[in-house]
Amino acid sequence: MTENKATAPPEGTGVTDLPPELASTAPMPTQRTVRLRTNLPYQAVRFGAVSLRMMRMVLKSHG
Amino acid sequence: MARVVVLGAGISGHTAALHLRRKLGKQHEVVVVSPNSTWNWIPSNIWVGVGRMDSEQVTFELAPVYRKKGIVFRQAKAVAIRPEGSETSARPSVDVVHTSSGRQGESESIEYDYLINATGPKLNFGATPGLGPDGGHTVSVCTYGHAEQAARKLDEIIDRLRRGERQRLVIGVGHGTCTCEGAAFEYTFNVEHELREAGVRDLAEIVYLSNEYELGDFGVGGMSFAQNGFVTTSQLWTESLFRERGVRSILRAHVQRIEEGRLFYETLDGTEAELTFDFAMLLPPFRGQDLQAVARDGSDITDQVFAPNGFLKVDADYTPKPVEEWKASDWPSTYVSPLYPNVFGVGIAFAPPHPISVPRKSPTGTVISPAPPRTGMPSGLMGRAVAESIVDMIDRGARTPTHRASMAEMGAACVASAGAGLTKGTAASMTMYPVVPDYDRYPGYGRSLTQTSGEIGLAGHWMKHLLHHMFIYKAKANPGWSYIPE
Ligand SMILES: Cc1cc2nc3c(=O)[nH]c(=O)nc-3n(C[C@H](O)[C@H](O)[C@H](O)COP(=O)(O)OP(=O)(O)OC[C@H]3O[C@@H](n4cnc5c(N)ncnc54)[C@H](O)[C@@H]3O)c2cc1C
Repeated sequence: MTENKATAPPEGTGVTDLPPELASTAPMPTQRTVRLRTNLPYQAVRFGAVSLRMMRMVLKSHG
Repeated sequence: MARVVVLGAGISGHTAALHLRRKLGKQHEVVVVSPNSTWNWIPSNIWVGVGRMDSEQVTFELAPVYRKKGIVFRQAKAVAIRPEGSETSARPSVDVVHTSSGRQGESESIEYDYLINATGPKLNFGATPGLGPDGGHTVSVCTYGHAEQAARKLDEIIDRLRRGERQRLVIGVGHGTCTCEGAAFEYTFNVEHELREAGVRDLAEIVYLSNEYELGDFGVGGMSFAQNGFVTTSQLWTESLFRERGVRSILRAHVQRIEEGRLFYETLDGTEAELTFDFAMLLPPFRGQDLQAVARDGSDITDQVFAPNGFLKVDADYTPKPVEEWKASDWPSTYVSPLYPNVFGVGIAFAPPHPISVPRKSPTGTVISPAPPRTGMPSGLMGRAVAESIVDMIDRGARTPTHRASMAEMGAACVASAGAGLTKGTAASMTMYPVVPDYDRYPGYGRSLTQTSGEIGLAGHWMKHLLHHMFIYKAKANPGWSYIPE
């Protein structure tokens, strides 16, 4: 469990009655990471990798 | 001739019925009892709830499929089981009440040789005053009908945002004992994505409200992954997504009651607070369907056959014990009733021995911790294992179940959508093994670090879309269906 500390609410959200934001110390993805998440060639490769990983899990669970 | 009756045509019951029919000779009868005329791929209700799909895309009529496969379908609701037979017949039976327009309200008794209870959850909106779309103040995505209502309400919110009005959307769970946090997570990020696509995100405040102790718990006590040479957690990963997408969270919360536009909640530390909202999608807690069990002499034995939460007791170890003494072996593997060797409970309908997440209570004694999820893949695997056991019992005279599907010995592959769209969508693709941690086999983390994984990206969205089509194809029993795994 990580320690969380309070931060001000994001600009323009009009928050008045909420407890502190929890996810304030979590790592922010870099621009590159965010871009790669929807980069078509990269995601095509990841699709293959995710499919293989899931297939392995499915086969293992089907006994 | 033997008759197998399956109660429920959801993921687990429908899977069981199709495999029974595939493997049993034609002299045996497979009967499915379910109150709805349609099958629903529930995971895609999330997309119905944001208006990306309509209900026709996530459902199909069951009767033609059952006709094609030679399965007898009763559109009816089971109300009581008589596992010892009745005063008039020694054969066990189930009492049903018809729900189809032609036979609405008509009662029938169906005798069985084997019974599978796959009736899923009763959506217990009544546990929290003001919860739910029927007479309450919140929407839901648990059924396709609820999800359509949610989409309409979301459209109104988007219109108001377009007019420059600030709106607060609260998404999460509506009671301290809820499960299915993964679905609440998915809906949160799908709504966030839709608001961005509509160009109105800046005026909207999205709050995730959950009974989880920390983000990323998902009712499975969180997950640990090996990534880039470190062991990282689903908590860190989930918190990162919340931070990136500007979604606030209120955790460790039990919603006490809901009024028009405001809800009242208590947190684990005993704090009581109020939160106003313009839109709230809060999942209900689950309990077992209202099924009664009746002995041969007519006496009520419901509390022997079912756990107090209404789920069917099976081959689990229900001895109350502290968290430190929980074992993987507490979890059932054959799903047979300890009292009746021809009665089984699968999917959400079986009574779990205890939660997976650490149970916690507030100073006032309110339980605020997730109940254990029984997601699609485990539900399907249980349905199939029980069907295969019954086939062996009928065909080979096996006296006890021959197939196992313990959640402590199986993994789960979950794809949690974080926004739909062929080129802009994302989803978190997660695998975990096993679902129920086994600290004897995997000291320290309870699960295999190499087979527990997670990543976010468009590939996950494509996967979720593919699974949508694949599982609907399979459920329709189209050619080759049995080669598609559960
Ligand atoms: C919004 C949402 C999103 C989800 N997303 C995912 C996901 O992405 N991945 C995943 O793995 N899981 C997901 N789940 C969980 C998944 O839907 C369940 O694991 C699965 O549906 C459980 O299957 P089941 O057969 O036990 O119950 P259900 O599928 O609910 O089926 C129960 C059946 O019993 C019938 N029934 C009810 N009462 C009676 C009665 N008295 N007599 C006879 N029949 C009765 C019902 O009509 C239904 O046909 C999600 C759940 C929700 C609510």
